Amino acid sequence: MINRICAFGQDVALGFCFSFLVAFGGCGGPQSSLPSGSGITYWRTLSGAAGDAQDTLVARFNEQHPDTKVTSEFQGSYSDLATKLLTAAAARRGPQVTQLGTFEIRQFAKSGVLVDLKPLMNGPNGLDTSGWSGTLIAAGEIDGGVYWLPFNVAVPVLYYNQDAFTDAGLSGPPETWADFFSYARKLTRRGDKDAVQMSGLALWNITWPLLSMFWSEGGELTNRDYTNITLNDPVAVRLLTELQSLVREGAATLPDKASGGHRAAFLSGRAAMILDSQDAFSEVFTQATGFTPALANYPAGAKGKVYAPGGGGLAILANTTPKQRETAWAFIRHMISPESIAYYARESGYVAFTEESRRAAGDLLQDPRHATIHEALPFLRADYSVNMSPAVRNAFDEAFQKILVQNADVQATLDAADTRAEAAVKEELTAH
Amino acid sequence: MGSSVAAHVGHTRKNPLTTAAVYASLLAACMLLGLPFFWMVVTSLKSPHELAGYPPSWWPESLRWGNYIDAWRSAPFGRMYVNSLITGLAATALQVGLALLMAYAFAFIRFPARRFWLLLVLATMMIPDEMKLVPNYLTLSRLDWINTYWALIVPPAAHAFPVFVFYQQFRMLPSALIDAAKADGAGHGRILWRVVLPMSRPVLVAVTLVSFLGRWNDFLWPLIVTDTATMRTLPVGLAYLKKQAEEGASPWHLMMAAALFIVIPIVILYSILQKQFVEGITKGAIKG
Repeated sequence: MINRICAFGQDVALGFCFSFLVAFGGCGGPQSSLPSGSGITYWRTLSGAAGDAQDTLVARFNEQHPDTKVTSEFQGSYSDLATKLLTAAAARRGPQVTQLGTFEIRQFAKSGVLVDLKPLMNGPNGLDTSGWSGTLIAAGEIDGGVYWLPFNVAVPVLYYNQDAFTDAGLSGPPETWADFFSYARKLTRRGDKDAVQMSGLALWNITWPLLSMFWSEGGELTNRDYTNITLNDPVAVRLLTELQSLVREGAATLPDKASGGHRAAFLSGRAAMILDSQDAFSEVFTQATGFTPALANYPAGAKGKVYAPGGGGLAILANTTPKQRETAWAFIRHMISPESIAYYARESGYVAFTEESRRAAGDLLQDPRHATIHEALPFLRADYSVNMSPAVRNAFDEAFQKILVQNADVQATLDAADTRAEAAVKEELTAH
Repeated sequence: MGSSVAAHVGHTRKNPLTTAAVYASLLAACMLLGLPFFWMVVTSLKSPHELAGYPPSWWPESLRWGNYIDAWRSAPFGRMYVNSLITGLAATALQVGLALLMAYAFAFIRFPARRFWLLLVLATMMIPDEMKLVPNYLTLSRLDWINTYWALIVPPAAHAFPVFVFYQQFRMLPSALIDAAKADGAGHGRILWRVVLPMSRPVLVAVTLVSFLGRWNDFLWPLIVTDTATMRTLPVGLAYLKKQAEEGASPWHLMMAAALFIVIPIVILYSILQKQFVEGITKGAIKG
C-alpha cells in the first residue's frame, strides 16, 4: 500500500514537472544570463493592489529572463506565511525567495532558515545601497550578516481633520509631540452633558506608532542584542501617562478592531487625528465624508524626527540550490531595482525608499501629499528589535493594553513588563 | 406517565400568556442568533463608504449586488468551490466510514485491551491540531502529497470525535437485536449495515454534517498543505480578501459577500437534514 502511495506521489510530482516543462520549456528568448532550469518559487503576502503589483513585477522578471521562471504564490497574511515557512523549512521544502514581515527575521535567521545576503550584496552582481533612505540597510542585520532586505516599506503618517483644526483655531498640524497632546485636547468637542462628540485623537490598537514617539523623544525600549531592555524607560512612562490622561479625559479613544478601529473613527468624524502609515492614504482620501482630510509627518521630539518604518522585505531560503540562488538573487535585485520600487510605490501606496526610485516615480511625488509622505524617509530608523523578539513585543503590547484599556498604573505596569521581558528574553537567547 | 405529560403539554398550550411568553422568548433567541447572519447579508450589500459610517446603518443606502461579482473575482472561488466540495465530501466519507468501523469494533467485538485502545483513541482528542501540524506536514512531504488532494483528504480522516459519538450510540442499542442477528448467521459487516446503521441514522446524519462542516470551514490545514490557488479551498480564498492590519481596513463588504457564498451550501445542507440533525444531537441528551 505504502509503495503504491509513494508511486502515486511520484507520479503526481512527475506530472507537475512534465506540465511545467511542457508549459514553459518551449518559450524563451536570448537575453537571460541565468542558469537554465533554475526556476524558483516566490511566496508572497499582501492582497489587492499590493499583491497584484508583485505579480506584475514577477511577470516582468520572467519576460526578462526567459531561461528561468519565478512562480509567485500567495500564502495569506504575514503570520500565515511565517507559519507556512516554518513548517515547510522543517521538511526542507518551500520557496526559494519569500516576502517576510519584520517579526520573524531574527528567529528565522538564527534558526538557519534564511541565507546571509551579505556575500551576494558584496559580490560581482552586488547591490548599491548608498541611495537608501535612513538606516534601512540595517533593518535585516543579524550577527554581522544581512538576512532580509526591505521591499514594501511603510512610513508613519499623521492624518487630521482640517475643518476641525480650523474650528479649533489651529493653523496646521502639530510640529512637536507636546503640541500633539495639546492639540488633541483642543480638538475634542463635547455636546450635551459633556458627552464627547469628537475626540482629538483615535489611537491605533498596535504599538508601532508609539516607537516613533518614544524614539524621537529620546526613549529606548531595548538595544539590538537585548542586553539592555528598558520598557520602563522614563520617556515611555511619561508619554504613556500622557496618552492615558488623554483617554481618561475623552480627548483620545482606543477603538477596537470590531468597531472599525481608529480609521473608522477618523473617517466617520469621531476623531480629529490618527497616527497611521501611508497605507491609509487611499482609504482616507476616498472615504472621508463631511470634512476635508489632510496629512502630515509625525511630530518631532527632543531628538528631532525619528521614525519607525513598517512593512515587509525579501529573503532567500536556505534550501536553495546554488543554481537557484543565482536566480533568487537576480530576482531580489529586480524587485528592489529603482524601476520596480517606483512601480510598486505607484500601484500599492508603499514608499519609494531609494533616491533613484523616487526619481523614477517622478509623477507620484508631484502630488504634495505623497511628497510629504516621502519626506519622512531620511528620518527612518530601521531597528526592528521590538518586533523581532516575541518576549519584548508581547510584554510591551500587554502593558500598552493594560495602561490604555484597563487604566492600569503606568509605572508599575511598565516595571512588571520590563521584568517579564528580561526573563523571557533570556530563554529566547538560550533557545537560539 | 405518557398521558400526564400530554395533559400537561395540552394545558400549557391553552394558556395564552404562557404561549405568548414562549413565542416571545423563541423570537428573541432567533433574532439574537440570526443577527450576525443578518449583519453579514446587510454588510455584503453596502458601499465601502457606508462601512465606516457612524452610527452603523441597519440597511444599505442602495443594494450593491455588484459586491458579489467583485468578491467572486477577487480569488479563484470557482475552483475553490470545486476543491472544497471534493475534499469536504471525500474527507467526510472517509472520516465517518473509519469512525463507524472503529466504533463498531469497540462496541461489539471483544479483543484484548479493548478499553485501553479505546481510551488511547479518545486521548488523541486532547492533542491540539497545531501540535500535529509539523509532524503531519513532514509525513505528507515524504509521501510527496503536499499541494495535492490527498493532503486535504487523508490526514483529517483520522479523527476520534466521531468514533466517540458512534461508540456512545452503539452502546445504547439493545444487545438482544445484535445477538438475534448473530443467531441468524449475520456477519459483522451485515450487522453493521443492516442492524446498527438503520437504528443510528439520526446520529449518523449529525456526525456526517458536523464532520463536513469541520472540513468545509477548515482554514489552517488547507493553507499549510497547499501552495497554489488551484489547490486551495474556500476559507483560504477569504484570506485573499483580508488585508493586513498595517495595510488598511479590509474590504468587509466583499469579505461578507464571499462569506455568504461560502455559507450558503451549508445552510442548504442543514435545511435538508435539519430534522435528523436535531434528533441526532438531542438523542444523547435524552438517553444519557
